[in-house]
Amino acid sequence: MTASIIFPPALVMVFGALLVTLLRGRALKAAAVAVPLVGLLLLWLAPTGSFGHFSFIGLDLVVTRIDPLSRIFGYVFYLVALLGILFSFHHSERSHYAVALLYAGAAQGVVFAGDLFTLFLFWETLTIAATFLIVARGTPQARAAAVRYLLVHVAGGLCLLTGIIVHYSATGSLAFSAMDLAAPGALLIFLGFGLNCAWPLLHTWLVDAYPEASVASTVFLSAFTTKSAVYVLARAFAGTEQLIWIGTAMAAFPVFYALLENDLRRVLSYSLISQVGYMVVAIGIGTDRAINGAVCHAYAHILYKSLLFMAMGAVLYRTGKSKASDLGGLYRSMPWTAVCCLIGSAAISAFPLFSGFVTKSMIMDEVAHDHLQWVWLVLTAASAGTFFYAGIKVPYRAFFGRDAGLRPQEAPPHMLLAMAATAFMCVFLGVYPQFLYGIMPYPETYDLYTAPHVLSKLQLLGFTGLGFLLLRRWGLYPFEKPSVNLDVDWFYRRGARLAYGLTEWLFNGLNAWGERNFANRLPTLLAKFFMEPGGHFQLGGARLIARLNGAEAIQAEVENSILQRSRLGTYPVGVGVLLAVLFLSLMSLLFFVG
Amino acid sequence: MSRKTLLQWVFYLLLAILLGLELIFHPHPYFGWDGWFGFNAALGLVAGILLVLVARFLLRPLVKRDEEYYDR
Repeated sequence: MTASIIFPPALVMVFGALLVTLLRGRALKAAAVAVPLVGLLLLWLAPTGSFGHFSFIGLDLVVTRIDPLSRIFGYVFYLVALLGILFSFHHSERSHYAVALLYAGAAQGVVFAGDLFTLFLFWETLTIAATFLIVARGTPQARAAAVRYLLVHVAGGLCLLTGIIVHYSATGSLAFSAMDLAAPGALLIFLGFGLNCAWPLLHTWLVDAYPEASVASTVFLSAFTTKSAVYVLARAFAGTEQLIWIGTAMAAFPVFYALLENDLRRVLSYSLISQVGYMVVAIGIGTDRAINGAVCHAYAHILYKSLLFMAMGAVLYRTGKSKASDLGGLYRSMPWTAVCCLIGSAAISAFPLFSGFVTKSMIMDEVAHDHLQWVWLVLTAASAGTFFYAGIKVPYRAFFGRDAGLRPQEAPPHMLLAMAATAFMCVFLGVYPQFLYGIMPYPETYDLYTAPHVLSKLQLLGFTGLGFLLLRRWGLYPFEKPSVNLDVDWFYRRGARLAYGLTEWLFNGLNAWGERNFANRLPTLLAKFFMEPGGHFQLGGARLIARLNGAEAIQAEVENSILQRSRLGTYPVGVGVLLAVLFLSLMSLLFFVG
Repeated sequence: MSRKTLLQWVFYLLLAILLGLELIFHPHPYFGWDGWFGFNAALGLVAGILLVLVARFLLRPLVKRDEEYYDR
């Protein structure tokens, strides 16, 4: 195959997005499904290498770089785009499909970008498309969350752009390859990537916006932004030790929020951050086996996470509710959705024979090999927490537990089909991990289904389940209540209000003060003075002299006579002569000195 | 015995079997302490309970606000 027919994967999707804007009805849906399928086929046929070299305003660009690392991300991005489109079939508006395909295409663009300029272009496209996906739900909450999403990501994008410019001016190269954190601009690039990766303290856009988007949009959102960030980190910063600590914090802290949170789609959003934390740790370790683990975990995670979002989306679609306190007992009316949700839960909890078991074990084994015992302990405890909130809480509060009396219809066929296909993948990857081993970036062998390993995982999960039963018996669980749980977005949501108030006080205060003094008082004073400038001048002098002599004020009759004389202009001739002489002597003095 | 309690006893029995199996399939420890008998079981039980208690009694009092908090 020659290079000329390597079509950039991003452009397949972008052209697809343009195409679907021309169609409607069945043709629209058929085309929307066909686009990722065609892309998948083209990528499967495409050889490894760099294509699309060209020069633009003096920059050497490489639009398509296909190597094992980018290829596996490309595959899973096409796959989840396909499943997400299928799940969206209740949408009849073209904008949904166009924006979803554009968003998925931007992620492909990031993954296959061979240079930082192309990367940045698609990075920003990702942000803009995601904003539209969020805003499309049309609720005031979604609109507000979308604006916050946009502002945060534009700030992150600027950070990245600054880093790229510094990097380019220092090295003269735009090639996107491994970087040293100490290199000029690298830290800014690192932080820009980290924002999209939802690092701790930079994460709140995710849990703010994803639960506010429509049910189909969230499936897309959950897949692309964070995982394309995982890809760029794996590409540029593999083996950067800081990532181990960032990732550990990232895996741990969302567990508490996920346990506390009442909105089940927000629970899944916190859980998404926690799962990406495992990948970040593996990238920080940076060995071939660890990178394999990170990439395979991303692959499995994209699928089980979108499955869980689909299941909760189907519940929201049918009942209009997504809060644990409003749901319960839905297995009676939505049994197939419940089964799919349980498969997703088993996969995220890393049950043997499900995808998460394979991929999480790849990471955990590497952590153990590196003798990072504290990291291992935190990640394992977080796994127990993951089983608690995603394995037990989500299905238990939605489909089992207290019956909320809701009797909706089962999810529509297209949703069931999308969920079934995704669930199949979750089981398939768990039962037949050789599929993943065949497409992962570095050829390594893994032997994960050993009896002791399976046993230790089952013990961990089983006794976490026992903990759940005990807590329920003691009346300590469930405890979720309708609430807002403050997170660091408080600083910009409440902080913005504070800054607004402060600015209002400072500048409006300044304005009012200026108006009072310069527009009202000063002209009045000046007008009064210039009505009788000579008289007021003399009065000022007389008052000054009087005060120097110790008097409180000058006598009223003196004041009156000064003003009257000034008004009438009746000065003695001698005063005029005196002034003229003074003036002349001043002039001559100046003349001689000059 | 109701079906629910029966299921619970089956679950407890399974847990006991899982623990018993560790006598046959001993895991290869990486750090030493992870090879102690029943380590994973204990970790799961303690971590699960502890995380919930921390979320409920430490985090919730700190961060919980009413649902209209940001709309006011």
